[in-house]
This record gives sequence, structure tokens and C-alpha cells, in this order.
Amino acid sequence: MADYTAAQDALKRATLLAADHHTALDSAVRLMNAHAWVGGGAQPFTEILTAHRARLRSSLAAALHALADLVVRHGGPAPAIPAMTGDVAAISATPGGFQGIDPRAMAGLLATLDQAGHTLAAAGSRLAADLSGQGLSAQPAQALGHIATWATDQTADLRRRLTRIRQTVPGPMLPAAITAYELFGAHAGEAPDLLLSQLLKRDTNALTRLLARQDTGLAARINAWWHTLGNDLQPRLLDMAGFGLLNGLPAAIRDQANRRWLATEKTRLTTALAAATKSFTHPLDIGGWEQVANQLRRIEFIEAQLQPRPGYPPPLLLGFDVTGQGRLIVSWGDPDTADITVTNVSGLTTRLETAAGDLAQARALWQQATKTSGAQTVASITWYGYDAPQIDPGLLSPSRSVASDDAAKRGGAALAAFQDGLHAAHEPSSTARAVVIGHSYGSLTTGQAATLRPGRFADDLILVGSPGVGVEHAAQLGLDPKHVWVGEAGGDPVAALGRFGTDPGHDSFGAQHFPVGRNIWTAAHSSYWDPASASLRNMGRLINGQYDDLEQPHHLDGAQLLMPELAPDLVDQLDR
Amino acid sequence: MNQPTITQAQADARVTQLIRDTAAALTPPPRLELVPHGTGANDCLHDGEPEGKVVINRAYWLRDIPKSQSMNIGRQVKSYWEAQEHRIVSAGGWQVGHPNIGGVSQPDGYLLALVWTEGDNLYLEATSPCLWPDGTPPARNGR
Repeated sequence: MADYTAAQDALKRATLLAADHHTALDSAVRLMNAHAWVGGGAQPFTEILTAHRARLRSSLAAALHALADLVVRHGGPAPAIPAMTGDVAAISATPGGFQGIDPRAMAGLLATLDQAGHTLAAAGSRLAADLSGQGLSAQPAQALGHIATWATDQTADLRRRLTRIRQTVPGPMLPAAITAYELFGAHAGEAPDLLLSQLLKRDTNALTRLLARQDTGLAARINAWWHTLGNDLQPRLLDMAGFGLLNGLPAAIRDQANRRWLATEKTRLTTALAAATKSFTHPLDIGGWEQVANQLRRIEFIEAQLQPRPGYPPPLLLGFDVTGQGRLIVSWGDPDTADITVTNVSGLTTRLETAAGDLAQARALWQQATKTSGAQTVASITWYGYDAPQIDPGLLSPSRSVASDDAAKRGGAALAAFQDGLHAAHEPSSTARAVVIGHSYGSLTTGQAATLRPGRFADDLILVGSPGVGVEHAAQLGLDPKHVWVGEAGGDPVAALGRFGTDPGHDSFGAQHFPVGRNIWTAAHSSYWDPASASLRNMGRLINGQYDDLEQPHHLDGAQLLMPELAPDLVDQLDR
Repeated sequence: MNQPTITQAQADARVTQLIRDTAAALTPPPRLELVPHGTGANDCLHDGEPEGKVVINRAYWLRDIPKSQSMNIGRQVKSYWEAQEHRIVSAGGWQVGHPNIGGVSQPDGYLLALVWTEGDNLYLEATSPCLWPDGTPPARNGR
């Protein structure tokens, strides 16, 4: 009888203890699940935390079952074991976006772990005493002790890291990348860390290897690494050739590093050209001379494009390459602070020497979107970061032909990595938007990139003059089809190709159509950006998310309404 | 494409006239405030046009108009442009109280627009066709 009573008393104490402590890690799991982590140690930490929560519950349950069995063995009725309930489902974990991490949430995580460390240690001791006192295995209680030790260790590590981050990163919110890679750095354990540490020694091979990588999470890792370097280490890297190409660095840093590199290259090429001119003795030497001269011309072209223009923000040089077909990435407006960032991806017949038109288009979009965006700031980027197909050489080279999607696949991977960088480097914001415009073959590149980062590539996709985007339906682009916009001017020869998947202009593709206004009858492939055209205004509205304000075609000849299905009530409203 | 055009100064005068005439027809009369973005010469981005051509653009905020009068202003602009025999080519946002109108002046083909912006503001805009800044093509050009 005494054994029965003692066992039942022990069960009662254990039941109360389980009721008090089985949720000890719930709010920590909930806090971690409420964020859509990309890369870094946050996700592994969450998995370990979740496993500890499960182990806490299973250990408490095991202790209760062991004591209940003992009660029965001592002749008592089978006691009911209370269920350990508690939901840790996330309220919402919105993927993508620019949302930062509230440091109060992380402070809450620390407090929860700290408390769990203390209370579970004490609870484990009490439970161990009861189990041992009844001659039962103390293993479930020891598990509580292990969990308590883990929570205490994590608290110390996270507190140290959080303090350091708060000292080096300003602003009320923690950038998601820094939180994922630095706060939870103990769980990151990814290969880039080695390359990044080599980069600190100005190891050009490490930089080359980093630039060749386009994997998800790399840009966030680079951003976190940069911010925690501190003011003493950062300046050492700025004059390293190609450093400014790294996706994830702040735009201002990329600009600073790239301009230094551009100036260095200009000096080097000028010297090389002078030497080549001096040693020019044979007509066959013209090849090398011409190559140097061409690269120098490209540098002068970039310098001209970077001249400040009245009415526009100063351009930021986010990337360039004067070799091969060339590369040029320029932003009007700071993409790290802008409320809206639009990336313009060009295609057919684009190369560095002909990029002036692409840059002008990005400026025109900046200007138009800014005019109607009210207080919201805009950054408009020309992204020429891949070997776009050329019309003439493409006839000979399948990989460069507009008829092939090889260039778009390679470009898509590079574009996806670039967009990763924009997200990683943006200051935390719950309302910032990313928009990508793919023009001509660039829309295929855009489509390829979107499929590589489902849910995280852009808030709106705008496809103009598109020959197809490589998928059969807009829903396959990784975002809600109602945010995939297709504009085609009548008679657009590239749009008419429609050979890479379903024609985006076709209803079966499932995208939204936006009118390109006057260009419907002035039909030309590059006329979407005509200054002050309805087409440009509509793209500006899409960039700003002003979907209800899209202009629809109206009376063109005083009698005919083109595409009346787009504006069934328009005539009535206008004539009211 | 390489024919002489009107000059930048002539286009600027016409752009200004189109906006001021439209504004003068509105009740209540708006105060015009220049929109800093885009005013002046902008690259002509129309395909097939030679490099070096520009368009002349001006846009003015319509100030001192009560927010409640936006739709009324929109209808007046449309009526005035129609009375001038300009073509209305596009419109949008009316169903949500945001009057947007696109037009083309007759007979000279300037782009006209009344545009609603975030914050319940309206601007009037006029843009010239592509032209050579001094009216004549350079000795050598093309792209």
C-alpha cells in the first residue's frame, strides 16, 4: 500500500511538472517558424530547437508512463496520462520580400531559452529524484538536463552574437541575412566561410571562386560577412579588382569598389595601348592593339554613362566587364534603401557598345515611376549581366542565337543571384517591392531566373515583347500569376516568335495583360519606352503596384475602340 | 528619319502652350508647379530613330485643386482636348477615382497626358515628337 501511495504521489508531482514545463520551448520554436529563413544557420538551429522540443515532450511522456505503469504494478487503477498540447504553427512566414528581423523577437528568443535553461535543469533534478526514488530509470529526467544545458549554451552564444551585431549594424531592424548568418552563425557551417576568410587576405582565387557561385543564400552570407568585418577590415578590400561584383555587398560599396577598379583598368589599358602602338611593326599586330583599344573605348563609354544627369539620382556602378561581350549593371537610385526596385533585363542585340539605349530605358522608367509614386522612392537598374544573343553572330553560334535558350539559362542563373544580392543588401522593410522587367529575349532570361527562386525573385514580373519565358503557364514562374504582366505591341517581331514555351501573350499562359497604349498602332519592338507614352506610364504604374490605374486604349480614330474587352466601362465613365 | 525637324526651343514653346491652354480651361483654376523629373530634353527611345534625337517634355502639378475635384478636372480635361480636336487615345483609373488620360495633339502629334499620382495629386504633361535639338541632323549620324 505504501508503495502504491508513493508511486501515485510521484506520478502526481511528475504530472504537475510536465504541465508546467512541456511548453518551455514552444515560444522559441514559434518565433523561429515565424520567419522565412534563407541560408545561414537559422534553419539548422530551428531544426535542432524543434527536435529538442519534441524530445522534451517525449521525455516527460516517458516519465509519466513509467510512473503510471508502476502505479498499476502496485495494484492501483491505470491512471490517465494528460496530453501535452500546444500549437507552434507560425502565424505567417512570408517568403521573399525585404522584411528584417525584429531584435525584440530575438531578445524574446534569448529570454525563452534562458528561462528554459534554468527551469528545465531544476525540473530535471526533481524528476530524476522521483524516478530514482521509485527505482525507475532516470533517463527521461537526464534528457531534460541535456536540453537545459543546450538552452543555456545557446543563450550565451546568441547573446554574445546579438550584442556584437547591434554594435556593428545600425537601424531598428536586423537584416535577415545578418541574423541568419551571424546570429545563428554557430549552426551555419557552410563552405563560403573559408573563401571569405581567404578573401580577407586579398586572395584573387577565392574571389574568382565566389563570383562563379550562384547558389541561394550566398549573397546573404556575403552581406552578413561584410557587415561584421568592421571599419578596419572593410577598406582593405575596396581596391581589389572585381570585388564590387559580389552580390550581397551594399550597393554603395559595390559602386565605390567598381569605380576604383574602372579607374585602375583605364590606367592599365592606356599604358598597354601606348606600348602596343609603340611596338606596332607588323599588320598582324593589329589584333592585339584593337582588343586593347576596344576595351578602353568601353571604359570611356561606361564613364560617360556614369556622368550625373540633371533630374536623376547619381548612377551606381554595380558591375562591369569590358572583356568578351561585356557586362554593365547600373542603378539609378539606391536599391538598398529604395521602396521599389525595378531590374531591367534586356535581350536581343544588346551588348556593351549598344547599351546606351538600355540605360536610357532604365532612366525613363525611374523617372516615370517616381513621378507617380508619391513619397515612395524608386531604384531602376539596367542589368546587362550575361551574354545576350546577337542577331548576326547567332546565325553561326547556336549558343548565342535568339533561337536558343542556352544564353537565357546561363543569364537566368546570374540574374537570380543578382536579385538575391538586392534582397540581401536591402535595409529591412516590410513594404519594399522588387520588380523585374524582361524585354525581348531578356524576358526569357527573366523567366529562367524566376523559376530558380520561387517565391523570392520578385513581387511583380513585367514581360514585354516576349518570345516566351520557358514555361507553359505563368504559375510556373514561382509567383502568383496575377503579378505576371505581359505587354506586347502589335507587330512586335520578337514577341511574335513565341517559341520558348507558351506565348505569354496567349490567354492559356494565364498572365495579366497590360495595354501598351499608343504603341498598339505604332508597332515597333523597342517602342515600349517611348517618353511620356501610355506604355511607359503603365509600366511605371505596375512598378508602383498601381494596378487599378492602368490606361486602356480609347478611341483611336474617333469611332473605333481598340481592344474593347479591356475597357468595357470606359466609354461610359469618360462620357459621364 | 534624318530630315530637319522643329527646334528644341520651338518644341518647348508648343509643349508649354499645350499645358497652359489646357490649365486655363479648368475650373477651379489650378496653380501650375513644374514637375522636376523629365522637364527638358530626353532621349528619343523610339525604335528606328537615329541617336541624338530628343523629345521635349514638360509636366506640371495641378495645385490648389481640392482632392474631391479630381474626377471633375479629368472630365474637363477630356472635354477641352476633344473640343480642340486632339485625340484621346487612352484612359484608366476612373473606376477608382483616379482620372488618367492619354492624348495626342492635332495636327502636330504631341503626346498629352493627365496623370493621377500617389497622394491624390494630378499632373498635366506634354511631350514633343522626336526632334534634332537645333532642328537639323548632324552631318553624320545613325545607329
